[in-house]
This record gives sequence, structure tokens and C-alpha cells, in this order.
Amino acid sequence: MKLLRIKKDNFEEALRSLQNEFKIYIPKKEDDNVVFSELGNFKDMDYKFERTSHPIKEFVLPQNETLFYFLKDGSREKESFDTSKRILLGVRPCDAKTLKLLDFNFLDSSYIDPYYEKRRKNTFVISIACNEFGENCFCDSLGDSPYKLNGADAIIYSISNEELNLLIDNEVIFSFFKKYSEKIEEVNSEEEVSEKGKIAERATKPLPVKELKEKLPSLIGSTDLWKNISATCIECGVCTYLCPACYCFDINDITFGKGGKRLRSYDSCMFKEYTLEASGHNPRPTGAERWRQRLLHKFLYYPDLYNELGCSGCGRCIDKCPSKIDIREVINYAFNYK
Amino acid sequence: MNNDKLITEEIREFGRKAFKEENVEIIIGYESLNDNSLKPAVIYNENEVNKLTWNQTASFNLATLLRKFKGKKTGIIANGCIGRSLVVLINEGQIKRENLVIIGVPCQGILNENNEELYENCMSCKYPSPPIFDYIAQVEPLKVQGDTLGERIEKIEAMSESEKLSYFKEQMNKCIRCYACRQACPMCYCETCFVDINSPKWLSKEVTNEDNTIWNITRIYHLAGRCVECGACSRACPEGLDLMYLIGKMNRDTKRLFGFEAGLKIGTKGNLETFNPNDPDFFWKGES
Repeated sequence: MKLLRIKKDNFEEALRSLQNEFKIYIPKKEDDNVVFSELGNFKDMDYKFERTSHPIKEFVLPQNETLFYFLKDGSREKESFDTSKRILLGVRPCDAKTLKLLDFNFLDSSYIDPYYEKRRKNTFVISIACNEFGENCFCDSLGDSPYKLNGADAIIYSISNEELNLLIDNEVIFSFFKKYSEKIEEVNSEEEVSEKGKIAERATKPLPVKELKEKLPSLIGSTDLWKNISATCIECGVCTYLCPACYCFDINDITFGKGGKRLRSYDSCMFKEYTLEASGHNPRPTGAERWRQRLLHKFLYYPDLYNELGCSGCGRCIDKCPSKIDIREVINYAFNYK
Repeated sequence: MNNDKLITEEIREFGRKAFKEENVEIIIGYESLNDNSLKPAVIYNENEVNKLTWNQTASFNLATLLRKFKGKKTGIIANGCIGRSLVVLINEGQIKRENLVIIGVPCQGILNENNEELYENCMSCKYPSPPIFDYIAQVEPLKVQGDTLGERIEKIEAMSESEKLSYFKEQMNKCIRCYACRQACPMCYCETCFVDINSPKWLSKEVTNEDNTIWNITRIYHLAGRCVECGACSRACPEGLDLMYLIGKMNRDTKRLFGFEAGLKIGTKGNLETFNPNDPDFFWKGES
């Protein structure tokens, strides 16, 4: 890893040179939402990089994705992949983790998803350390930190009026910034960066996720636990659609005239139809079973399979839940359930 | 003592009575999330009654949760919006009045997410108290503050067609079809929503402006004469679609064209369930 000290003007120069090869996206406020939008005017660069309303999974797993077109005569045509290279600039460390978590599922060596892979290969992340905690973020409660690289290609630290520190973990990205930097140091990890500037800090309330993982198998049959957790859940798709780690999708054929297309789109384990079988039987008939699935997937199956939680602590599910259900409370409740 | 505290004490007392004397199995109400916010809560016995809390952040329509507890004798905290929702659900045969113990709250209006001012549907609320109840807190309800929603609708109406279309498209572009609006609505109780039927497929799963428009318009039309304008759909929306405009417009049209407002009285039929031979627009009038 390389640690670079760069003047802001030079940082922007480097971005301009990157723009010859990459589309650069930065967070931009639109009404009440913050969305990644392509960097055109450098006046938009206010170095605040607010956390976007949606997680960055949209760049690798869009809500709609045409897999291929087909005709009645049996012929089919592959969708042309968007192969443009892009850099997401100003991603928060919790969101940088998205790609790491989704890679486990989509790039697992035995089942590689070509659609995901093509997008993923062309997606680079320059994240920024958080200098304060949002209302419902909890990465620290999961043992993570708001200065972690979390799989990003680079991370910005310590922005002053004139300069910033950039920790780079990608040779290609480094090659663009190299000639613009004041100082280059070789470091082994984020921990070795002494000048990180103001990093969000607080008395962390750790969540018992490790202990919960051990306990969850014994809770699967605790009907009342799941009923209580889901009592006020209205079973919409907000938490899963806005989750950086949720990737479940549905595949449908959309037909028109003599042909059609095969579409992949988001699905949610909180929907009744998610597990509805053709016979009419539904193995997860109520919110209780669906909540059990959601919690088990994130806090038992994911760590079991990949040694990482299926949760990055971004807190969007808490921010946006119409019933104001708080996953942190659910974790504690399940852990303390007798 | 301020109104919130007074109401909270009263609903706890009524809650105790509901468990003791009326044998309810559960009470659906609100509990404190933190100092300035409430969340929906379901309590199962008298010992939990002190969880029940009321203040002006009770933004969730509790009537929505009834479908999860069908057949149970249920106590429910109800302000005007929730009370009116209960009336619609009773009139539509979804719940039985005798299975409900309604703890009424004359509403003081609900504060918006910044806790600064009332939601626009609360400003023009004419029915802050529940039309039916078994108990009711003794406080003065909110008086009409002004029709900010109506004024906003008029402004949108006054736009040119192309301006209106672009406003509409902009709103529909935001939709991610998470169906939080539907799930938060007490009247959206269809066992299977038309969007979830895949044979025949009424609506594609593709999130496009056109399909989002079909979704939102169809949902709103399904609520004509059934919507109590509680605003739960608009608050549930994670993307900030202007659903208040859509439902406000539809409700005002229903009032203007049919003289009908939903959920005011048990035993009344919805405007789309009735037929009046004196209807001035009656298409089958013949020559008489």
C-alpha cells in the first residue's frame, strides 16, 4: 500500500487524467436524497462526500438487468454489457465493504456470475474515512472502524484546506496519482497511517454478533422469538433493497410480440412471494419466518460460509424502516432470549 | 401536565382495563424509540402496559398491523386516522367491531420527521378524533390549521401539461417498488396484490418510469373512497415520492364528485360500491 500526500489541486488534476479512462461518480444531493452522479464540473467537489441514500451495489447488481433477448424462433441475443470503467469516489467504508461481501456470493470460484463479474471488474472505489457517525450507523459495534479500507482501492484521510492523504491499494490507481503527490510512503495497513485527521470516535456499544452466531442454531425453533421480532414489521422491501449486502434476485421473462427478454431484478426475503411455491404452499408464510431467514442469513450463514457478517453496519435499514425496527435491538433481543 | 403525558397516562389506564375487563389478547400501540420518537408496539399482557406511550410523533398507522392478528381480541390505540381506518376495515368486512377495543386519542396532529411542524395532511385534518371508540382520552383535539396540501395541489394543477408531466415523471423515477407504501396502508390488505400475480403478469418486475407509474396510479385508484389520508404511505416511502399529492388529489376528487369521505360512519358503503339512479353522470339513463 502507498500513502500519498497530495495537494487538492493536484488531486483534481489526477482525477481529470483518470477521466480519460474512467467515469468518475461522486455523491450529489438531489432533493432529499444523495445519489452517485457523474463528476462533470469540478466545482461540485466539496470534499464532503455525504453517504449516498442507496448502497453502491447498484453499480454491480442493478435493480433491473436484462440477461438476454430472445425470439420465438429460439434465437437469442446477449445483452451488450456496460463495460465502461468507473470510479466511485467518496464511498463510505461501510459501503466499500459492499463489494467485498457481494464478491463472496457472485465470484465464488465454482459459480461465477458473468454479469456481476463484468461490472465488478470495471468498478473501482476510492473511499473516504468518516469524521462523524451518522444517526444510525454502527460499523464500530460490529468490530469495524470508520477508517478501514474494507476492500476499497484507495481511501482518503485527513483533508485540510489545501491537502489530503490518500492510501492506495491498487497499482493502476496509484499510477495515476503518483506524479501528482508531494510525498509517497510505503505502508502495510491503515493502522500504520499516523495522519488520518479527525476520525469518528465514540464509546462503542459492541453487539454480541460472535456469540449470537453460536446461539442462533438453537433459536431456529423459538417461534415466539421470531413472532415478537416481526410483530410490527409490515413486510415491505425497504431494508433489503437498501442493504449493501442483500443480493437476492428474481428472474422473469418479459415478452413483447415475437420475442422478449429475460430480466433479473431485486427480490426480497421479506416478501410473501419470495418463497411461494407453485403448489401454493409457502414454507415461510408469515413475517416471523421471513425475519428468521433475514437474521440467520446475515449473522449465521454468512459468517459460517465466508467469515464475514452479511451486514456492514451502514444503518440504512434502521433509517428507512417504516416501522422503525432497529436491527441492533433485534440482535440484542435474540442474543438475550431465553 | 402537557397533553402527551396526560394522554399517555390515560391510555395506560385504559390498556389495563382492556386486559382486565375486556379480555383483550394484545394491544397495538406505540412505545418510545428515543426521546423524540415513537414506534409501533404490540403488547401481550397487563405488565407491559406502561410501555404504551403517546406523543405527536405517532406517525405509523397501527390499523395496518391488524391483519397480522386476525381473530384475536385486540386493543388498539386510535387517533382520527386510525379510527377512520378501522371504520373502513369494519365496513369492508375485514375486522369485526366486537373483536376490537378502541382506545381513542383526540389527535394533536403528527409532527414531521424533523419534529418541527405538522405533516401537511394533519394541517387540514377535519377529523382528529376517532369516529368510534370504547375509551377516549379527555383532551381537546387539533383544530384545522389551513389547507396547505390543498394549496399545493392547486399549484400543481395550475401547471402546464408539460410541466405536470415532467413533475409526475420525476416522482415516478424515484420509485424502487419496495412496496412500503402498500405495506404501510391499512386498506391495502389484498391477499395477493395485482403486481405479485405472475400468471397473468399484470405488471413487469422491471423498475421503469412507465411501470412505476402504473403501479402508483393503480394503487391510488384502488383507494378511491377508501383512503383516510393518514399519510402512512408517504411517510413509509424511502425515496420521498410525493404520494401526499396523489392521494390528496384523489381524495379531493372523490369528495367533489361523489360527496364522499371514507371512514366516518359504520354501515356506510364506499362511493364505488354504491349506485344512485339520480347520479348526474349516470351513463345508462336512457331517454326518460
